[in-house]
Amino acid sequence: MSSIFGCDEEITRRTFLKATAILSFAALPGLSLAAPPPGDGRLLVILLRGGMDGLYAVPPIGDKNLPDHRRDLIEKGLLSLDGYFALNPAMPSLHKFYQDGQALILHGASIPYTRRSHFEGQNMMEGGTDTPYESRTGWLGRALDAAGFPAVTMSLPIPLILRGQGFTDSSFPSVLRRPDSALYQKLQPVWMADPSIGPVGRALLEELKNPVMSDMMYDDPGDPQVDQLAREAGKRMAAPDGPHIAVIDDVGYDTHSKEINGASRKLGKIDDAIAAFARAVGPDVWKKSLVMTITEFGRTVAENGAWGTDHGYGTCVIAAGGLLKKSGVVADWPGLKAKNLFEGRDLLATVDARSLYGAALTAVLGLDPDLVRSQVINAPRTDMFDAYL
Amino acid sequence: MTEDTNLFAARRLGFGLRLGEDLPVSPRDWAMEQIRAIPKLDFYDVGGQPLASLPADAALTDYAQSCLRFGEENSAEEDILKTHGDDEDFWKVFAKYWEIPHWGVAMAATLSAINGPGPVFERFWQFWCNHFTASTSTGHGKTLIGAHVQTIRAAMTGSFETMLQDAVVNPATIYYLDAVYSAGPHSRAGKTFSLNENLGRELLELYSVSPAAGYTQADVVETALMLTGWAFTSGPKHKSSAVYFPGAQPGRVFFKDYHEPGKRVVMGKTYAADDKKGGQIFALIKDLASHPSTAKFIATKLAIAFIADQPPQESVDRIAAAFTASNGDLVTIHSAVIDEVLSVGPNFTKFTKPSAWLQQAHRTLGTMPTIQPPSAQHLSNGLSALYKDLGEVFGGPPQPNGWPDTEADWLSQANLDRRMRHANAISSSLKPTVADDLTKYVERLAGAGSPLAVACANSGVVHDIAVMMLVSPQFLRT
Repeated sequence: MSSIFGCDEEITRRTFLKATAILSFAALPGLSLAAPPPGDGRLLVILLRGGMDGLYAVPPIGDKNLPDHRRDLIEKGLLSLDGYFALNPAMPSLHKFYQDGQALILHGASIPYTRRSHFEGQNMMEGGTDTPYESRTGWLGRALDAAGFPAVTMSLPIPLILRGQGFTDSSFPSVLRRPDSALYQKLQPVWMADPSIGPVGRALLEELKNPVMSDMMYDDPGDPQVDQLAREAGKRMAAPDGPHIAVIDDVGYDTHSKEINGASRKLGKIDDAIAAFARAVGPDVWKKSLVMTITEFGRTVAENGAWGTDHGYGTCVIAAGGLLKKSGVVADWPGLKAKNLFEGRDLLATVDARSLYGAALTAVLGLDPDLVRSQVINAPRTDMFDAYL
Repeated sequence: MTEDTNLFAARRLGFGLRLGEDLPVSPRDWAMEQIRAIPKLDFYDVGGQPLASLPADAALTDYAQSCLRFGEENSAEEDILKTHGDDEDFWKVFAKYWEIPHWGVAMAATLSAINGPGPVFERFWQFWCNHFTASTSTGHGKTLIGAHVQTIRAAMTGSFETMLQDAVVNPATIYYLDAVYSAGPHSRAGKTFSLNENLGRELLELYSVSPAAGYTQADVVETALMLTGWAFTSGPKHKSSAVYFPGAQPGRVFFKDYHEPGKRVVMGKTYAADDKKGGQIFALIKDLASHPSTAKFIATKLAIAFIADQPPQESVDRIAAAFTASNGDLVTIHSAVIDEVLSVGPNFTKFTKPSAWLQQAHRTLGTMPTIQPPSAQHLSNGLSALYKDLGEVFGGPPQPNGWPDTEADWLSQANLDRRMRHANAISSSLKPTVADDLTKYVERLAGAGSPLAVACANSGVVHDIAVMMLVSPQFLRT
């Protein structure tokens, strides 16, 4: 039968790819027909909104100036990484991955944003741009437009980072039941009359054909935890035609006060999420997977008066996955001497974090680095990660 | 367009019309009259009368109501613990007592919007509560949210400067943005505590001039220093409070021992010291309120909320001009918004965010949202949990910039599915007797012969018609 969903003008990322494949391949410098097919990897990006304290998560214990700035914010029982850097004890699973050659930390890094506003910073973190509010699309969205793979966000709204020309699925558990699917069908002609609601309604009707009954998989669908969202993302991504990219949108890293309680708990949840994702995708898919956390900025090197830290600049990016060739902490370490701090207070970022974002896109989606730079995100030094990705 | 002007105005400026209802006067008169006086924030029933009492556990509902009054939060909390301390089931709920104030505020705001006398007022009030977001994600701070929204409400017919001042030096804001422990390095408390920049930064960035004003990190620090000393106390009864000072009254209070002494400079202007009374920050707030960037920033935000995701610049300019010419008089500013909505607004559609959609659904259908408080067995079955399920925790956005307000932020597959589920629940109590009115409303909304009217006519079942109407593009947008 002719599908009611098969309108010609529909632009999903897959059809977008089909329509533009020849054109874009021809336009790519350095990508010949002999090049390997586009990557079949999986990328889970976890947004850590609020400004994650990289010095608390991955403290540079080899830097003898660290204790000058911090008393309460260096945990006991740190987990050893490379001797110079250590891992917060709330992240034992990540530590295991590190020992297995499957974890990468980029430290002393940030997006190129120094003005310490969450909202400008998050806009650049997601937009991948040089200045705030420059783009209505996100760097993952543009990457998906170029690569033509499906994606899913584990949130109700589509975060800026995934917005592009194509359509992104979304999944988030509800406490209420769906009405009878016949009612959805009746709305089909009503939704289709609207240019922007139409594609969304069509995707919803498509999902109802093979509904993923995921609400019951959450302990409390009214309050889904990051690790449960990661598990759900992993299950979807493990399917052969499943999404190649997923995003989890987490908040709560703005640790102005009592940081040790809040940040430790949050890092523990991220650790659980990485482990849950690895289990959900299974060993084969994990081999081609990468999980990466990104945040808008780091925090002040020194503690403030409320056992917390204020908005800063440099921080770390945490990545784990079977896609990595080996483990390591990558840093051009700026040092924590007072004169080395950014504006006398923040960890300096010596590496543009977007370089790792770009390298990840190449490794996961098979996008040419030059194409990434020209169409997706300004990632100046993807070569830094050649040994890892 | 298929919508008539009255219905458009009632939906864009308020929460819509009941089935079979029309505006009693012209849209402009109807809207303007509502913004001049402050209706009581209350738990209204469908007939517009305050509910005699909320059902279920009286202690919880009393507590929720007390959370809507200023300064009584913690004594109510202590009383409730005294009465129910041994009751295990009760304790299961109250252990999560921070859900209760949120539930109470969501309840009162919702019932005021859907059944109260001033929907246009409520719409603007909800805008300002979101602008001055002071939700807290944990603990004690949540009990202050009622006082916070009442502070905003009381300022609705005055000047922006007064609202800004009251909202910033407000217990909920002080707590939420970490100013409680913030102390100047040269203050007496500076030996123990140090400066926290959070509130100083958001005062500039989110509440007033916005980054467009070009302030620097030094300006942020100076602003934070001016704010030092402003804290709150929750009264002598609540000794476990973060800031208990014997003998102090509940509410906002200035502690000179925390205040950084001396003059300060923000954006090039010097502010004289006022180390005993803390008036220095109010001198800055006065200048921030009248800064040209503030008028532009607020006007843009209002235009996005009421006119279009990308509003015409002329509309923004006219609202900003009204702001400036009236020295930030909120009634004048709201009047300008109303005029823009009625003249320019019909050229655009606005995708409705979840809170306004839920409220409009109930107002239109004459239904009541669940008024049960969260129970021990089901902490997630109260009204506040329904808002959360729709994606917009009422009065509790994840970050201090509040909830967004554009189609890109709210239209997704999961969101559309979510509206289906809630429309299904909302429509479940409708009686077959509303069939005629419902059909007429659908035709009024979408036009006779429209895909929606046709689908509804083919269905014939009241529940299904209502669901289809609530999740139709015509209802999802105003």
